[in-house]
Amino acid sequence: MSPTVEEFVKRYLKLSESQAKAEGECLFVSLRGEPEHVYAITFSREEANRKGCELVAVGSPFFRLIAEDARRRGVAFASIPKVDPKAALEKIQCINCNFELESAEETRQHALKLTYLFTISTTKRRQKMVEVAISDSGKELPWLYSFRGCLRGGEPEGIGEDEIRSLLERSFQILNEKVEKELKEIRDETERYLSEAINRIQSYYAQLRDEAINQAEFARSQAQKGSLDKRRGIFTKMSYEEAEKLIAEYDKLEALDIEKERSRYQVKAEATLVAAILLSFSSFKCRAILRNFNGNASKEIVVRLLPNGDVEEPILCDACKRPIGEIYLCSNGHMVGEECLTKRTSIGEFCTLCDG
Amino acid sequence: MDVGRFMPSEEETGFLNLRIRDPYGIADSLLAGRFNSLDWLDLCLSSYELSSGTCALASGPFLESRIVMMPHQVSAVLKVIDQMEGRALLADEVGLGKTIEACMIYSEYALMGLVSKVLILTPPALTYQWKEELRTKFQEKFTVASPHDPEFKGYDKHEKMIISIDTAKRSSVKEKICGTYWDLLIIDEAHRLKNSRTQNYKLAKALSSKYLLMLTATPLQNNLGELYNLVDLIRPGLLGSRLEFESRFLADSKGRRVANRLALQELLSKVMVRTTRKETNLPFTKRFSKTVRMSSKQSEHELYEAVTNYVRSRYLALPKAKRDRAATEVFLLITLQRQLASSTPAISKALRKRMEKAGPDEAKELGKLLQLAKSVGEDSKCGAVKELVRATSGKILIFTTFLETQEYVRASLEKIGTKVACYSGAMDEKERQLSLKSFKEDAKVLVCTEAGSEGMNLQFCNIVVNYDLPWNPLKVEQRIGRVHRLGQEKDVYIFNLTMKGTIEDYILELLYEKIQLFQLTIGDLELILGDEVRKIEPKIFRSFMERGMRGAKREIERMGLDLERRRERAETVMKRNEMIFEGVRLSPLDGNGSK
Repeated sequence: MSPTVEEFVKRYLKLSESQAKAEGECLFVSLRGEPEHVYAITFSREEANRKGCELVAVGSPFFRLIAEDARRRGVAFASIPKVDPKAALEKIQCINCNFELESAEETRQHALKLTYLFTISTTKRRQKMVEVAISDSGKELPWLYSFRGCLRGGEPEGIGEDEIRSLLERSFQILNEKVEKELKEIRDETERYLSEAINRIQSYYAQLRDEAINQAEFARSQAQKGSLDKRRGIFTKMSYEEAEKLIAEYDKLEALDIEKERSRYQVKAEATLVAAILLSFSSFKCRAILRNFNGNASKEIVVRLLPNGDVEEPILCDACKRPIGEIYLCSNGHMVGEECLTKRTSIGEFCTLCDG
Repeated sequence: MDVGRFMPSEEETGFLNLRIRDPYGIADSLLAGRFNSLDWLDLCLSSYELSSGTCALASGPFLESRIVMMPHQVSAVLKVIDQMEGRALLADEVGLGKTIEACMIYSEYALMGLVSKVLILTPPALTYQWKEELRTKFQEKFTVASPHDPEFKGYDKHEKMIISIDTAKRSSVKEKICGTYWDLLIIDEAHRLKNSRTQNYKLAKALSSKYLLMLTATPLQNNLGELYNLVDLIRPGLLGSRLEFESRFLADSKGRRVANRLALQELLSKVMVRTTRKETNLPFTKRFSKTVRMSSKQSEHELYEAVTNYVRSRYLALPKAKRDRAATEVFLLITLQRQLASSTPAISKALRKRMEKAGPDEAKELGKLLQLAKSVGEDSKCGAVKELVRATSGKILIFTTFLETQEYVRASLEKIGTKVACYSGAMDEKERQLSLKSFKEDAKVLVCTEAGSEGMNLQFCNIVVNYDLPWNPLKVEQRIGRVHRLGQEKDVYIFNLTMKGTIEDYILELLYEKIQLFQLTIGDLELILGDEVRKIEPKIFRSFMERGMRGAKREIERMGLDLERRRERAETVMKRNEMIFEGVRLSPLDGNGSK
């Protein structure tokens, strides 16, 4: 749930160690950087009306001031506590077997998670946050987007400016891939609107040109009949030459109006880097034996465990080669998922590959 | 700050259409190893989450703290942004706050980051009113393109500029403003663009902007063709060619009756918002005015005559060229005459000031005038205001033009035990807020000068006293507008204090009462007066100086008749608009005053 403006302000005051004194519903604040200035703020509209202090809301001057400051501080470092390989393996769901950990080889890695505010504006604006998480090998880390485990502060080790720079560069590529589809959809939609607007303008000016020509034709026919002097029309008093001039003027106006529409429907796409967190974490390459409960079959497995306890590459079913939900180890050592078991209701379930 | 030094340029990355920005130097901090705590990171992200907003108007919470937003205004803003792509004709009936609607739309776009270059075109008399409205209610700093605005640096030097349409038409200015692609263009009193052959119209056509708001309560003055011209600026071709429009929608040759009402409604609803007073269900209270005319004491009469003669002699001594172009000297003399009508302390201070710079003969003359001022004792108007305060139970807002008069009234009322608060442009923001607080809570009277009074919301008070009277009806309207505005629930009572036989007395009787200034509804006046308003004060002064009181009286009478005709004309236009738009529903409200 989004925090309220009041929660945000109070957290800011606490974190920035600013002075705040409450008087009724009014808060007198001295910000840390400018102790001589006192801001009278409130979160109650009634109070704002009564005492003349500023009602803090999104867009109000005090909010803007502290939000700007908070936004300059959106860079952090944290380490993710190590996962216990044994416990992580035990969490892998099995039907008739379990894992016995043989060895766990730890690798220390870094990751960078960047948050971008992606904005597309045409005549309207659409905005959303886009996250990009990459490891120091430049690989995207999808698990990091949903990672909700605990983080610990500290100082980064073993990563230098050059590595971070190359991670930043890589993040731009991933960001581009992520927003490409949406950007294209909006471009197409805007193109549609623009072409509607251009059609409207073109048909409007075509009509104006036709009318000018008709009036001039009429004037000419009247002049030929001798019913009017000097090739002039009855209603419009327009000569053929005047019509031509007018048409040239319409051409210019049409080009101008179309140009205006093109400017209006220009798509601007921006990604503003709003926050970054550098993370250090350990992953484990685990060698384990999967053994069935009857003790008549076992299989050696190598998995890489992520900091959230998941395996990096899913374990695949020997039968269908798709990721397994729950593992069944048959007596012949085949590892299959529930979907690939042949069900014989009277005597149980068997491996599709060997009936074992 | 744009793309940081570590950020690739668009070309470098090959992301030709995606611009990457780092306004807060996140990449730099990251590379330099300047890390903050996780709490700060979280707070930083929260600030964006809050700003993205979930309510209908992102700027709503901020605006709510500064203005009273009426449902019809919020609906209009949403409609313009969501359905009209920011190009619209705001044509609410008078007094429904079109200016506020336009400013709300601007605020919303600005908060979304869609608007930074804004041009506001207004009639000359309204430039500073817009500036104050934006400053006081929206905390936005605009510059008036005029040498009188000390912040003005040049026509191509400001991103947010207010410019009078007359100035904008000058070819050198036009060239500059037309060479810029504006994010938002606001045209106030857009009915001035009704004729497509005028310079005004050509200027509007030549300007380019992403969003365009045109404001008028009377989109047509004479016929439907004028409405066609306005819509054609917003969305050319929407109504087809003129001939097609005329054959489709004009029910008579004069263009004063509509054919195919529903089809027109459908087309107009794409670009026009018009809410009527009836549709809002808002209470519109009345105004009642009473003029308290007092006979001067002998000493007051003598002072008035003597100072007027002094002013006249100075005025007539000026070269004709200076008199004609209302030079600074003329302005100073007008001020002196108005200080005389305001109060004895105001004129005394002015005379003393003049004495400091005067030569020996003039100083002697001024000394005599000062002696006369000393003999006046208490001003008759002051006695009247004390009586009024004693006899009234509600809160009273007293307007004075000059600070000395304000101080004099305050001191006099405090002597009779009345709690008084003061408000003026000489006070800083904090003092003003304290004064308003005091008036709201315990003071019975607020004595206020015009300067700095813009943007005050004093709807809790319904009695206004004009201790002295501006010569400009727009200023009178602005004074009354402090209490008689949307949100006022009681009828408003206006008391005007004048001395019999003075120029102000005639202005009141022959000009203001003639046009029923004090009975007008909010916003009517601009429609009636047009640009005429700028000429009133110098015209009156000139005739007063050159032809004496009788000449001035005749001039004021003539002006009164002219304004009366203008008023009638404005009423006809308003009725015509009502008639033409009758049955054409263009309000974003559902008819019950809600969305």
